[in-house]
Amino acid sequence: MSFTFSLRRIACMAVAYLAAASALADVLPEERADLSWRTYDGGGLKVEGPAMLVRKNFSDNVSVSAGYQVDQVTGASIDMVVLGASPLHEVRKQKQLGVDYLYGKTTYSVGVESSIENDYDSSNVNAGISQSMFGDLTTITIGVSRGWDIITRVINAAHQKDPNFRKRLDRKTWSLGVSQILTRNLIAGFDYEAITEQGYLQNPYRAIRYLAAPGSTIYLTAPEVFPGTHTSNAAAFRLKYFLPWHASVAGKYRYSFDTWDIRAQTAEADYTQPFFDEALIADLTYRYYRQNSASFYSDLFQFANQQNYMARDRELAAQDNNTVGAAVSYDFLKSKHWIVKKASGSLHYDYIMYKYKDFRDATQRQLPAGTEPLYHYNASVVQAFVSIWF
Amino acid sequence: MTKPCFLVLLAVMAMTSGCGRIQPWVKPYERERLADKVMAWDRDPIAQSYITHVHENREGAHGGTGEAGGGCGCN
Repeated sequence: MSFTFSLRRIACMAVAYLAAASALADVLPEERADLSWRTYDGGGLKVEGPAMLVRKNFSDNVSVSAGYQVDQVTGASIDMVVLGASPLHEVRKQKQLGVDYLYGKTTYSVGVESSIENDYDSSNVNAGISQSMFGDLTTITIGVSRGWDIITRVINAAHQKDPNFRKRLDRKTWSLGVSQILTRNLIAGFDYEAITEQGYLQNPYRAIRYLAAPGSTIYLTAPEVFPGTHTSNAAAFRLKYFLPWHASVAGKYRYSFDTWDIRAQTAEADYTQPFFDEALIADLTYRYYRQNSASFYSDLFQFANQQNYMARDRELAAQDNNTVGAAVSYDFLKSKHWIVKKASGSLHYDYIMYKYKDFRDATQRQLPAGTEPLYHYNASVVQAFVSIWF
Repeated sequence: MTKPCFLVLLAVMAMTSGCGRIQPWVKPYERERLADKVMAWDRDPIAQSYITHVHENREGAHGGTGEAGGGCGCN
């Protein structure tokens, strides 16, 4: 009996150690496949489509992941309504491939990613190294990536492109991550990321608006003019705590700033509660985000060519948004069948409330320019997916 | 050498001299709770990746999330 107990104890300790170590990157990630369908519906746009992500390990040292997703975009955002553009019917396809190589307590990772739309192609390569240290209490991850985008412009409903419009955007990213076990119940993480971009940074379909004449109540539109460079920095700190009744609570705070004078803060809280011996896991999430406007942003310029750089992108406007989310995941297969060790079904729902502080609803042309109500909208994000471990 | 500089140097020497002897204060067999599913930072990467994509395409702030970029779908 004592022998059995010892074996069981050793096995439990080994499982706990391996699982904890996997969170700290000195064992390979689990072999897993996910098949998902997701939708985004808000602000006049609907984006929906499937996604797939598969990870397969080869030997004890090599792990390969591959992903594919399709976004079908339909509808018209407020910017398109203001400019009288035709509703969208676009497809975006994204592919990604990654390889992780584990050597001792070090994991080397490389990956490539490609995203293709009818007017926007994006390619990205990335590499990283992750080192576990101090008895696996600490994991440090360093990453770099390089991206190349090609932007074109569709000029009519038949999806014909402007032959004279082809722009480039280059991107470099550096990241540093630290994961730290603090106590047997508490884990902390720190992430820092710097992104530099150079090239065509604006949206070719967006426009500024300016008063038709001094004191006028109507507005005219003109192309936006963006700087050719952009550098942003983001630092995030997170904590996760195991609660005594077998649940967890997590908090995250992120601060970011950039060379366009946008300062943003994000705060997030998550609560996770398992039921039925972890067969069902429920998550509740709340996220708050706020930012000020970019230095060259204005909802309504006083006249054309008022300044060197001019933008009316609502992503650059002062805004805040609140997200409440709920998720459930149910293990409908907990024992091995054929090659499948476990299978689960999950449903995620997020409701996002966007409120802009200096971006007005310019579709209300019956009102004098600059007096329209501030724009706000709500969006729903639904993700349903099946996951299998093998 | 001024006193503050000396104290800083002493502190740095004390900290670095101990680096080789740092012992894990949470032993491997004490990490069972940290290994529980509810403690995973990113239990469902495919879902986390998508919601991050949704947020980043509608906000001015980027990065600090550990997610790679690519494409927009956000006119």
